[in-house]
Amino acid sequence: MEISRIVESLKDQDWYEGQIEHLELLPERKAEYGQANFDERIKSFLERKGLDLFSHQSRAIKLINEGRDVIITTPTASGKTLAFNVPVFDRMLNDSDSRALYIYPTKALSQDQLETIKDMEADLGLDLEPRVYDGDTPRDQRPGIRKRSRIILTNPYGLHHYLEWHHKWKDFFSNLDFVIMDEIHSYRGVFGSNVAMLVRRMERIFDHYGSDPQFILSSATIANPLEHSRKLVGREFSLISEDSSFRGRKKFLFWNPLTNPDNSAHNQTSKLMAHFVNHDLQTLCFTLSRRLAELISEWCSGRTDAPVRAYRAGYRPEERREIEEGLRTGEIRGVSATNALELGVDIGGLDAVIISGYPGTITSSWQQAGRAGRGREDSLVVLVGFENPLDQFFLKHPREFFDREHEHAILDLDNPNITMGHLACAATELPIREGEDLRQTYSGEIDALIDNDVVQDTPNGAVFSGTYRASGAVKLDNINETTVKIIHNGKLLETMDLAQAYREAHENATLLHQGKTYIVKDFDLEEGVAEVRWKEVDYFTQAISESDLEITRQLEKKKAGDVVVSFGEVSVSEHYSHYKEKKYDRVLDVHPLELPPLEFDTECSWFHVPESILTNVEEKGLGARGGLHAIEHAIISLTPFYAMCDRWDIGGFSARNPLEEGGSIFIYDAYEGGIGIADEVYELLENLLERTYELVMDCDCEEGCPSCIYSPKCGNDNDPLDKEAAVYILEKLGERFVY
Amino acid sequence: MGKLERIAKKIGKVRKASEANLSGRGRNKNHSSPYESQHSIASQLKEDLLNEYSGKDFLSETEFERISTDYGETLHLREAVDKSLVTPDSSRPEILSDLKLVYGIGSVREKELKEKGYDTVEELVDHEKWGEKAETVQDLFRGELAGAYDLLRRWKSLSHPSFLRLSGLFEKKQFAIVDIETLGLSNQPVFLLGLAHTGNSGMVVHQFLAEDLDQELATLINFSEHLDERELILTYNGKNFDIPYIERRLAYYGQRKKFPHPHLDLYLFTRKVLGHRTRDCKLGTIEQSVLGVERDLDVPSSMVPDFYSAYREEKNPGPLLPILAHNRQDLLSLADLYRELIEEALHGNK
Ligand SMILES: [Zn+2]
Ligand SMILES: [Zn+2]
Repeated sequence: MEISRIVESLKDQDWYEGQIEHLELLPERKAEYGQANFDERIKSFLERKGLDLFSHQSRAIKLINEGRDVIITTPTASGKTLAFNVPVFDRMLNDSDSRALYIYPTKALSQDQLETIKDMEADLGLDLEPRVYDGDTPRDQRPGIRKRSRIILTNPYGLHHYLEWHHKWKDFFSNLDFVIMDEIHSYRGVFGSNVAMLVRRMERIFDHYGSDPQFILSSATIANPLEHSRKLVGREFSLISEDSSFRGRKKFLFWNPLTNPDNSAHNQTSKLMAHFVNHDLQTLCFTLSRRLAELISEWCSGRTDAPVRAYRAGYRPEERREIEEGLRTGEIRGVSATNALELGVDIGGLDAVIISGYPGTITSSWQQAGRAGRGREDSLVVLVGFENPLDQFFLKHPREFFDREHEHAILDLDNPNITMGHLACAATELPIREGEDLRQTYSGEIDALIDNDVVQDTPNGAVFSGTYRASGAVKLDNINETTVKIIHNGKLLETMDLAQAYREAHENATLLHQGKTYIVKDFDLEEGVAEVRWKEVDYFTQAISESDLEITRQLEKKKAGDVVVSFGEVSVSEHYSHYKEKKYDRVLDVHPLELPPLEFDTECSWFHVPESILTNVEEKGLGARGGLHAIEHAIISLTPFYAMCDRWDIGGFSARNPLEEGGSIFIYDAYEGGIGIADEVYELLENLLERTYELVMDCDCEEGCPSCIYSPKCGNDNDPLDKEAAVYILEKLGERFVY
Repeated sequence: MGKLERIAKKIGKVRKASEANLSGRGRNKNHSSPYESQHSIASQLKEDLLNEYSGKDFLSETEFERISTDYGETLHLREAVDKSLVTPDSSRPEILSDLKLVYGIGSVREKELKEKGYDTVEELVDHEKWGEKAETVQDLFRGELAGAYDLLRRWKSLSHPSFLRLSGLFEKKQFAIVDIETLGLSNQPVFLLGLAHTGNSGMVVHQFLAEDLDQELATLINFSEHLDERELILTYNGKNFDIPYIERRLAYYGQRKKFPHPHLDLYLFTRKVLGHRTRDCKLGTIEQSVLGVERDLDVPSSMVPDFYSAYREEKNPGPLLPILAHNRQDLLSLADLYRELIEEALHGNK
C-alpha cells in the first residue's frame, strides 16, 4: 500500500482521536551527477557497484584532490563516506606508503565503517590491512596494526591516551596523508573543545614526524559548519553542503497523543509502529531512553507477527551487528532504538521513521528523519510529541520546527579548565618549544603550569615534570566511568553506567534486554554488579527521583546593585526514593528504594531573588516557582553563547526558599569538579541577565516557547513555568541590578 | 589565587590522588598491610632527611661532579667498588655443540649428525651439505658477538641458558649493568641512570644524575656515550622497561637513538630459574631470599618519584641520597644475581 493510504488508514483505527496535528510534504528532489578524475581502477570499482557520483560527491573529490581540507555536511544517506573514501583509496593505489587515520566518536561507528572500508579494499584488490585500534584491540595485535595497517580507525578517547606513545606510531604518522573525522557535530561544547585540543596535540606530533595530512570532516547539518571546522582543527576548510542525491517524497506527520488521553504517548508509539510494520513498511522508531526502546519493541511485538527488535547502547557488539544486518537485508521489519542508531551506522534507508519525543535539537531531529527514504521510494516520518510544553509547542507551531535554524556547534579554546590539561599532555608528548604555536597562544596558561611545577621550563622547551600521567588529568567528556555489570546465570548480559543502573538495575527492577524481561535479584553497589533472573512478568518498573543541590563552599561573592551573586562549590544529588510497578500506563504499586543518592561535586554560580519581588509575583496571582524556573531555563539557553559551551554542559536548579526567604537560581557545570562555565557565568551575570530579560520580554510567544523558556533537557518536563512571572522578576531584578 | 593557578593546582592534584591511592591500597582488607608500613617508614625517612640536610648543598655532600656537555650541564659520579664480576667460563665448542644453530638442522638431523661424529658446529664446517652454513655460524661466534646474539635470538627465548653461556664469551670489561630511576612508568622524566662495569681492578659504578629536569637531556646523552663504549647490557627487566624508556626519553627530545647491544635481562632468567624459591620476582625480594642482602633505610621503588620531587621542591639534597644508594645497590645486586643465575642455570644446584 502506498504511504498516503497507510496514513489515511490510521484514521480508521479505534485509537485514533484526531492525533494528526500537521502533515508536511517534503517534495522529491532530482539527483544531479558529476565527474571527477581518479584512478581507472576506482572508476571500474564504481561501475561494478553501479555507482554514479552525485555532483556534491564529485565536487568533494575534486577539492580533496586539490589538497584542500574539506568539510561535508550532507545527510547520512547522501554518500558522504564514498566522497572521502574515493580520494583516500585513490592515493593508496598510487602511493604504497600512504596512510589514513579515521576518527569516529564511538567504537561502534569505527567497527561499522571498517566493514565498508574492507569491502572497498577487497573489491579493489588492495592489501591495506584496515583495522580498528581502540580500547578493545588486544594488546598483542597492536604493534602489528601500527606497523602494517595503512588505514586505522579509532576514537578520540583512545587517541588521547595513545599520543604520548607516538614513538611507536612513527611509521604510521610519518606517512599520514589523511585524517578523516566523521560526525563532527558530536564534537561540540566541552567534549568538542577537548577534541579540538586533542587535534592540536595530534598536529604537532604529525609535524614532528614531518607529515602534514589533509583533514576531511563530515557532520550532520549544523548552523556554523565552517566556523566549527576551523575551530576544531585550526585551519580553513572548503564546505560541501548541498545534497545532490536523489530524494523521494517524504511525508512528515506531527502526532499529538494528548488527543487520546486513554493511551500514553509510548503506547501510541508502539501502535503506530505496529501499524506501519503490518502494512509492510520497514520502520525505525527513535526513543528517548534505553528502557523505552525495549518497551516499545516489546509492545509492538505483541501487535504484529513481523520480527521487531530493540537496539540501544549496552548491547554486545555481536548483538548490535546482527540487528544492523537484519535491517539491511530487510529481514527485521521494525526496530525501536535510542539515538545509538542516529549516527552513521550503515543500515540502509527505511520506509518509515517514528521520532517518539522531540530529541532536543533540530540537528538530531533531521538526522533521525533522514533515516527514512530509500532511493526514489516515498517515505514517512512521524514526530510523536510528548506531554510537555516544548513538544506541544512544536506540534502546534509546525513552521517553528520546519523553518528553524539548526543548532550552532560551539567550541571554546580559551577555557583554561579545558586547555591546561591538554597543555600538560602536549608537554608529555614532546617538549613545548619556544616559538611553537601552542606556546604563543597559551603563554599565560603555560606560565601557570610552570609556576605550579606541572611542567618545567628547560632549554629544550617546556617539559612535563609530574610523577603521574598527564592524560589522567583530562577527561574528554562527563560520561560517568563507573559501570555496572548485569549478570545472568553467571554470564555477562550487558553493562550500564551507574546512573542507568540506579534507574534500571535496583533491587526488583525489571530489566529489559532484547525483548526478554529480567528481574534484578541483587544490586551490589560496591562491586558494581547486578544479578538478574529471567522472569516474564506483565509489569515494568520505573524509578522516581528528586534532585537537590547543596552549597559546600562559597568561593566568591559580589553585589550587583542590590542583588548578591555568588560563585562556589556545590554538591548536586539525585535521590532515587521509590519505584513504581506499571502495566502500560497504569500504576500497580509503589515501593520504597534504599539507595544512597547519586552525587557529584561541581562549581556553580547562583544569585538570590529577594522575597519582596516574589511576594509581589504571588499577589498578582502568578507563580513564583514557575517564574524562577523559567528564568533558570532562559539563562541556560543563552549561556552557550556567552560561555562558549553546549547547553548539555550545564545544569540548573531553582528554588523558592522556605520561610519566605526569596528564591535562588543556580547554574552549575555538569562536570565533576567543574569546568569553568559557571565561573564565566558569575563574571558575566549582569550582562547575561539583561540579555535574558530581553529574550523573554521580546519573545512573541504567549506562554513560553523553545526560543525563550522551554528547555529540551528539563528534568521536570518544563513544569512549572510562568513566563509572565519571569518577565516581572527580571524587570524588578533589573531595577536592582540597574541594567 | 588566580584562576590559572587554581586550575594548575587541580592538575597537580592528580598526583596527590594517585599517591593517596597507593598508600591506601588494601585499605578495606587489612589495617596495616606490609605495603603501608613500608610506606610510612619511608615517609618518616624522608622527613628525617629533609631535617638533617636542610640548607645543605648537594655537591658538597657527595662526590658528584658537575660537567658541561653540548646539551648543557649534568652531574656525574664515578666510584670504584671492591667487587668482581663473575662471568661463566663458557667455551665456544660448548655453545657450538648445539648443531641446531645451523639453519635447516632440527633435533632429528642433529641426532643423526652427532651419531656420525659431528659434535660441534666447528666440526660440521667440513660437511658436504652443511659445511657452508656451519661456517657462517662459526664466524659469528668468532667475530663480534652481537651477530651470535642475533642468531641465538632467532631460535631461543631470551631466558634460554644459551644466552648466559654466550655472555661468558664476552670480555668482562664489555659488560654494562644498567638501572635507571624515573618519575613514573610511562613518559615521565628519567633523572638518574646508573651504569656499572668492570674496571682495571674491581668494578666501577657510574651515576648520571639530572640535578633538575632541565638537565635530563644532557644526562641521557652523557649516559649514552658511556653505554656506547660497552658491548653487552645486563639489566633487571631492562628489556621491557629501562632500555626502551631511555630510548623514549631521547626520542622525546628529538634524539633518535637505539641501543643495539646484546642484552641479558636477568629478570627473565630469574623468573624461570629462581621463581620457585621466592614469593615474587621483585629485585628486593630476590635480594632477601636468594642473595641474602638486607638493605637498611631503603626507599621503596614506588616512592622514588616522591623522594626526587621532595628534593626538587625543597631544594634539599636529603631525599636524593637514599635514591642514589638504592640505585647503586641495585647495580651491585645484579652482579651477585648474575653469579647466582650462572650457578643455578649452568652448573645445576650449588
Ligand atoms: Zn517564547
Ligand atoms: Zn527545568
